[in-house]
Amino acid sequence: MKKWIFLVMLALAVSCVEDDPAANPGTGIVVAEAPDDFDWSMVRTVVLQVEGMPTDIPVYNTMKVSDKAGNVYLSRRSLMSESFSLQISVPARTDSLIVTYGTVTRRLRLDDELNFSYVTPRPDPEVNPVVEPE
Amino acid sequence: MKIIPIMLVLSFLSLQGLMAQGILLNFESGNRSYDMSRCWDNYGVNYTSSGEISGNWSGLTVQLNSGENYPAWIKSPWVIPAQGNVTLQVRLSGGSASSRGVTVLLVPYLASDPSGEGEPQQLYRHVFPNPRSTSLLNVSVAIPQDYVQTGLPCRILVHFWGSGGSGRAYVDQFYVPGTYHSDPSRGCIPLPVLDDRDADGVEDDEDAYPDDRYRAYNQYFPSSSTLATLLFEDKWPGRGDYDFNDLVLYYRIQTVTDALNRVVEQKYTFTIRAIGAWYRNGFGFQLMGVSPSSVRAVSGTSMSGIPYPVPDTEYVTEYHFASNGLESAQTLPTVIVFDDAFRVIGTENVLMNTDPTLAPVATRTLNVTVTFMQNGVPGSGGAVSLSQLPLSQFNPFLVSNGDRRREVHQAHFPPTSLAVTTVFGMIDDTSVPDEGRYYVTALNHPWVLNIPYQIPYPVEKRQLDAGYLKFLDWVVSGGVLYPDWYMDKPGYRNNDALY
Repeated sequence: MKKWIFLVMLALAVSCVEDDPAANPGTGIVVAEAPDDFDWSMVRTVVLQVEGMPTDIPVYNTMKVSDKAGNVYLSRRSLMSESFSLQISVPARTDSLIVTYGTVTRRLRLDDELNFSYVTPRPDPEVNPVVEPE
Repeated sequence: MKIIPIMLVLSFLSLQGLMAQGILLNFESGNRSYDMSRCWDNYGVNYTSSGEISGNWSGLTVQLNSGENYPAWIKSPWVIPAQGNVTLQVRLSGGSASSRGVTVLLVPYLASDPSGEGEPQQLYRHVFPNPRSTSLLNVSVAIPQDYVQTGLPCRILVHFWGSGGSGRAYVDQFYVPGTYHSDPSRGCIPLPVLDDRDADGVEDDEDAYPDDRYRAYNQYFPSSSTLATLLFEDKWPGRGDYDFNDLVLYYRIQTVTDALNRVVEQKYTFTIRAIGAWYRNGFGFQLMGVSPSSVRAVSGTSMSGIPYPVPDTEYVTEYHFASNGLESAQTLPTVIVFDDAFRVIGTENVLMNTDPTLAPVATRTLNVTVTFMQNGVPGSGGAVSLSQLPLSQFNPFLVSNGDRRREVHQAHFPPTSLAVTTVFGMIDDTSVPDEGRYYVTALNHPWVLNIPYQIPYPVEKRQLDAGYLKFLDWVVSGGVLYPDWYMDKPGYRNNDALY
């Protein structure tokens, strides 16, 4: 009985709202269907995998995750030899993140897996290098 | 024939074991980039698993035919040198050559140089008497005692050089006695003495709270200089009028962590920007990733404490709170920021900042703090990490029309323990809790939008898509098109429909 009264009152409340969707000029939101699995969130949570690098001594520094506009989403003190993962919430429009750890900087695209390595790739030297004359 | 070299290697290694602590480059990582990132600097030395001196890998220089221009060298990380010998093994690859040689130098520490490197001092120089010879050269040279006694760091530099031919040199087992003293996170400079006034391990330049050992970092959502926007329709389970201005909040979350990356507190800034409704609406949020016992205190909320006369005696109008400030009888930590937006603003049933023909009303900002740690001590539920508090676990909701049970959440966010669930699936709502489907209509429309940007919102009687011209494209494309539909870009907005 109580539930019935509640629902009647609810229906009255809804029916008595002043704003009628159909009366509000828009361009079709009233009838536009969103996909069943549509994610209304405009924020995405990404997972950054950090691969530790063994060091001869414990090395600590601050890891920062930011975007190209300079917005810092995360700062943490990290041990260089430690592997870990981080969840980071960023606007869905973000296409890349910049991860810095001291002088180590990586720009990671969000359409790829987010993996951070402290190892900076270096090209192998040419076997027969061109040497400037003395 | 092979026994003698093996024994030489073994005796060499055993001697090394008797030496003081030192650092060793044996190339066994097989990865030049890896060792260079650990501060074994290298120019012109490849890694090879063919023709190695010992183990599975050795270094192999480029062709040594450019005189003493040093086309190849290896430089150790910074070490605090100890008494003992620098050792390494070198073998030429053979082939014709005019000359071949190896030089060992000590690079002293020079504080005035940005790199820390002073003028190298030669410790050893060997010219191969027969540059075609492929016999193994065991280099062993003492670090000068007078330099060891300074206690200053140094690097050891090995040059490989020669002229004529195309021969190269193998190198392995490069050992330096002493203690590793480079910082691979700072460009391999000598280990710095950090300025750290609060001694929390975070240097002052990186520490947002350099004099507070219980705090170190700030993280912000959406950023330290911008705000996000929450837009609510309050007629749930009726679908409302799509102007999404029944309650408009601008907000920012500042999460403070300590040097151990534990969450100390979260500071929420909520600004009531607009009320386009007659309902007496409240607002709260739930943190889905932690337990209530992890929260030590809540402050800064605005509860009127005066039940509003609601149209239904069945409404639940009272709120109850635990000693830590969280709402009682909740399985997850729930904060009620305010129970009546009108009372926070100080107005009574007046549309606020949604009708351009009416005078603007001053906004009101509430600063709510959720404390997880006090003086380094977490709540009884244990310390909370950042990974427990991503935005996907922030579950804001509107309390509609004074009835605590009527919660309106974002699409697919669950209700709290105190919400009425018997209304799910009624009128325009198509929630199916067993399937994780919450707060969407048959057309999958939401009642709440959470936008990571401070945006204007529709004026009265205008729907969201009248003001945001790319909104529908974003929706019907499944989010593929215009994920930035809310930004202020050319062609994106009709400002006549926005407040």
